[in-house]
Amino acid sequence: MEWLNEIKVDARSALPLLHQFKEAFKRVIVAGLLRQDEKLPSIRYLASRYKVHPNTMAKVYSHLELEGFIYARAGSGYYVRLDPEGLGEDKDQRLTALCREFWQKTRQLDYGFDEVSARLQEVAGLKGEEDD
Amino acid sequence: MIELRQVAFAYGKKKIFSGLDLVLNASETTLITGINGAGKSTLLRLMAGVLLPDQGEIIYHEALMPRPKKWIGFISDALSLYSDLTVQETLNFHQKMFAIDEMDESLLEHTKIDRKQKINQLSIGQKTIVHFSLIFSQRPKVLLIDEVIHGLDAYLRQCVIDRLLEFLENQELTVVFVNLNFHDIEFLVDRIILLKNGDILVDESLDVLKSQVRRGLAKEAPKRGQILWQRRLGGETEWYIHGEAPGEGEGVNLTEIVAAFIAGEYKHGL
Repeated sequence: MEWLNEIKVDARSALPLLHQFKEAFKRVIVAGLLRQDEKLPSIRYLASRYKVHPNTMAKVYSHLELEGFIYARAGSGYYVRLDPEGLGEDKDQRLTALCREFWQKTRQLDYGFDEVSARLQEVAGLKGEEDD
Repeated sequence: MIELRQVAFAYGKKKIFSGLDLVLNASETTLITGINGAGKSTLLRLMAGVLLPDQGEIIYHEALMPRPKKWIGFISDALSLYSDLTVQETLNFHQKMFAIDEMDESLLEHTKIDRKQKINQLSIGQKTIVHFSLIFSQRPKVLLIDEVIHGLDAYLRQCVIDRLLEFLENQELTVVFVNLNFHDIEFLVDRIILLKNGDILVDESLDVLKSQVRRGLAKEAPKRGQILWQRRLGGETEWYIHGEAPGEGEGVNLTEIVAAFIAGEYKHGL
């Protein structure tokens, strides 16, 4: 589980722990560091590893589940969900979550909507560079 | 779970609290910190029912009644309990006193404490482990921990915190830590209470506090929010500000936040 080293939180961040953990998990999932149906560490393990209240960790997983990034199997724990076909109604929520994260990051770079949108079209191959 | 209403308390002529109001909510984890002599341990003893207020009242939630001492686990640094008994005799005694079905001996097993040893022959760390074992066995609904965690070595501290986390996962527990050092519990607490001379200087959720305190380095401190502390460092001013939207600067961790609040108090005179 080398990817766990990528799950980091910053004690100096102004953002709540819950938010930091949630975003860190989303990042590793979106970055493809986890396989479809890969089992995630238990709440017990994460609480001990990070010395975080188990209630916080449980909320992290339930929020990720709600946004369609992971799913629960009764009595067995949480698993990664990559397959968009399996997402059903969650698919829409996941798109919103991804867009929000993407938008927040681009805002930090100080680009406006039009520039970001043009670049996205370019990346998606919908627009040639000569159109710039 | 526990509510203090207009609580006054003095040791003889030395007034500690005069009219303190405080509510501890169920399942919350709170850190009480402050300057030495601010009344932290006294506050914990009042909550535990070990000390009684001179005036005002302390109200326990019905879940803790009729016998609050059964449901409130109080772990203090002044551990004198049963000093002439052996560890095993202490466990037996405690089991009978609180009618406990099965004692929680996991910490004792991890730490290989000799059960035939007398309590007064144990090291401070070992006594703390025995005390935690007794208290966890009670399946408390409230746990009041007075400054003992940082007297433990790194391994014992890990054992205690892990056992506490396991407990927190399996049942509802309200926890209060009284600590001057808190680096390894800072992700565990929801609420921070900073005491000064028997008054509550800060009582805020950790998330809110972290979003409201920032520090920076500049020619002079920005003119927004409240300046908690500033000091000259190598020709520049390091500032800490507190406000609803403090803006520029960087975030700070809990230790730095508490230090900044306390620094301000030293400056104003204690």
